Amino acid sequence: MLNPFIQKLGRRFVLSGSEEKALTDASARVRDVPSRTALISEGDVPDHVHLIQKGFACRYKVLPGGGRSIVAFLIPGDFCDLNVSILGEMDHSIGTISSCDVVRIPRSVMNDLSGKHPGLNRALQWAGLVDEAILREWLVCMGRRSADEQVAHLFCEFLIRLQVVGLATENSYQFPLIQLDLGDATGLSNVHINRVLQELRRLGLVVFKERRVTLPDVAAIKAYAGFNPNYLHLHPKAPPYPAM
Amino acid sequence: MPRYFFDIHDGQTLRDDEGMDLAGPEEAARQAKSVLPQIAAHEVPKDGEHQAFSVLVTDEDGHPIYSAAVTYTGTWLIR
Repeated sequence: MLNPFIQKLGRRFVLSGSEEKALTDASARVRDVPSRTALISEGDVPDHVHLIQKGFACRYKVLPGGGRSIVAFLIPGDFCDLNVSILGEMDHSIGTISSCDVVRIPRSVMNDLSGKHPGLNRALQWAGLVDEAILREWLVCMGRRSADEQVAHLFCEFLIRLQVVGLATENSYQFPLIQLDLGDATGLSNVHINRVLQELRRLGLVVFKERRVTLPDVAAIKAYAGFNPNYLHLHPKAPPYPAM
Repeated sequence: MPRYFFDIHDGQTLRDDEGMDLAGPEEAARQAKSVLPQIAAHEVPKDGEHQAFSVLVTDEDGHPIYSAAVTYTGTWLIR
């Protein structure tokens, strides 16, 4: 199986053979983690970084009342905690949604990788910056989009991100999230999410069947959500080294 | 934890088939208080000057335990 992280970086960067090999070697040890399991918790000082190979996970904060606020979804090819070694301790938690294949790469190996391979280092920086860009987009969504648009936007985002790692067709993908996850990610109550999903179904923008999401008219749902994929920074393909 | 169901009415009825596990009736009422204005805030701009939203909270046995309503009334003053 092509390492989804290499697949993701390959959309934007040309990695050398040795860079690909170094990444593949580093991510050889895969751990199978059951669904709904914490990978790292707030306050932890991780000595490994986690890379999702298969399945869905999320970044979240536990609220004082015991609720959960999801601040990112992590899909195959996503690093969970790339730069936490610089920050020291985790200010949020990471947990699986579906069962996941997770690679743990020791921090020292990561440092070594980025030290020895400048192209890879740049690609890793890109991945971190895209995570931030997604967060910015979510902030706009939460502050400025209606509940219906916000959820529609999320379905569009999943489509593009999953396509990049070969896990979506032109208009559909496997989707392990439940309503509660969507609510925790959008700040909407479960009751409200229920209502939004019914509305999107009624408009023919989303079809749910057997844990699969289909967007019958991709252009229509993009327009409805005001979705512009520029923040995912997939184009243009950049050279692996900064231009001199 | 007991489960509560939140049916929303705003001209059409949206039955809640899933429900939510909550600590008790007070928590269910608190949920209704946050949900109903949230829905109204998103729905009111889509429609006319007179809109009403209500929620009926029922327990696992289908007994109503709480209801609430929010209305929006807009009035044009320039025509």
